[in-house]
Amino acid sequence: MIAVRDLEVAFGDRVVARVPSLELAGGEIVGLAGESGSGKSQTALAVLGLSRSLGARVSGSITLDGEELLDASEARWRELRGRRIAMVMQSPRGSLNPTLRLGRFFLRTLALHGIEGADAEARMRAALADVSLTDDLLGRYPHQVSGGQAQRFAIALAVALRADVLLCDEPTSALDVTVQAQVVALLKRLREEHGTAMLFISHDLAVIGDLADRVVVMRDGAVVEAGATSEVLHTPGDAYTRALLDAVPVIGQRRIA
Amino acid sequence: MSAPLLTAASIDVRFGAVHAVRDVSFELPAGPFGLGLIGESGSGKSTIARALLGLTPLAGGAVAFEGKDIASLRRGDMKAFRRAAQLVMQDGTEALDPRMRVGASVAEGIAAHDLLPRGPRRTARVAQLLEEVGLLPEHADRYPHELSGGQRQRATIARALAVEPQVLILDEPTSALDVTVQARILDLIRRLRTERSLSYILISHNLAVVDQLCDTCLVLKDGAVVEAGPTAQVLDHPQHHYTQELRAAVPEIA
Repeated sequence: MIAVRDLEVAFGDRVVARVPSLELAGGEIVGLAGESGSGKSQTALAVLGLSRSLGARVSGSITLDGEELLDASEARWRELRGRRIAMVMQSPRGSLNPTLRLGRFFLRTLALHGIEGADAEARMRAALADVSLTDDLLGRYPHQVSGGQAQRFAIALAVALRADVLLCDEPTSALDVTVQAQVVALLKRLREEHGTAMLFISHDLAVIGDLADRVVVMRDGAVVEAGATSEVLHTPGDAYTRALLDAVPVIGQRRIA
Repeated sequence: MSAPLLTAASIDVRFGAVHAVRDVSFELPAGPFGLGLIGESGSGKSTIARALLGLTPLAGGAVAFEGKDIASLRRGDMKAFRRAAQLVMQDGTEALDPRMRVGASVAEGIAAHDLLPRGPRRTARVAQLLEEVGLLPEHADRYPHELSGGQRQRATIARALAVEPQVLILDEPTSALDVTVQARILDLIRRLRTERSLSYILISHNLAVVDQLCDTCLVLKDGAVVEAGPTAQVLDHPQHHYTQELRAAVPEIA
């Protein structure tokens, strides 16, 4: 569905992400792992067509169902963003409008993509039910909902737009661990029921291990390792991947004697 | 076990109608000892940290340092308590003044408590503290924004150690850091615990972090303790359903 080839994102002389190859098939979840400055978010921004507006130089190729997106017009990107490729960000409230009640925000977003009237209303109710949110949420402002509810709301928007690719940039990092578990379960269900493909960006290898079919590990803007999740996490071939895995604190290890 | 260093006796904190901390009690023994406070957002763990330092008024109960209620400490004793208990927060940028060089920030407590006069001995002490936490003497001349997140957190710890505290209150000290950086800061705390015979209260939402560094722990929910005991026992055999839920929610590389 999405194929990235020889992608390079640079600010001036500084290359912030270099990805030789990254493919995402329908219904597949690919984890993009790395620490700060690894280039994982820059890669996601490029796949959303947002790098240039941030002043970056982008080269290589990004295709969606064979269509080259790297030189796509801003108008074409506006059709694709949200509709085909949706983004779920780390800050759950960051993507919502603080001055709009959630229901109005939802319908306005659908209208931007040409979905209006009874169809919009029906899609909204179905999508909310899909992410286990109740309708009373629609009358609230972003600050009146919890972080987990806001994150599920953002996912509901992508569901309503029938986006078939979800870019999730640290979607659970700001959430409590019990809430994180609910969001991860929801993403798994979306993939099962709608065949949504996901690029799941996280510094947390354990969450990636729980969710992703394949994983790409990045460091300092470059891909250091890629492969099936179980393989990469159990028999890492790269020293940095090993260091990253070893650094994850595990309950029952390294206790104070 | 020797007499407790810090005691929370049925402390209650209210913010208007919100009952933020409910009847929380524990004892922190003299070091080396780590006590973990585990909880999610709104559990009251950071409010407890502030209450322990006397920064938040109590609606009930008491905090005692070496057996004395901190609310009744006289000026001199209060100053000694302010020196004995140091807070390290999540983000090193908050504790370090952005306009001050790191060395000056580290030296602030030394000056406030008249530990060493300004001059070469104080400069040497700052360099020694920076080395103790794994930084270089030249970091003293840098500004906080010139350091990485991990280096800033080390500088914050050096600043806390400068006054030779007996208790550190570590409030999510690694939550803003990358996992490899977190691992090194956890190693540092482990080393300081032994070398300085430190007692600390470690506040974290991360069960594995508490597991690595704490002898005992308390699990908090909605301001109340739901479970407490030796860390290994609480995390390996959680009794309360909320602890079980927390434990089950932690993703692990299978």
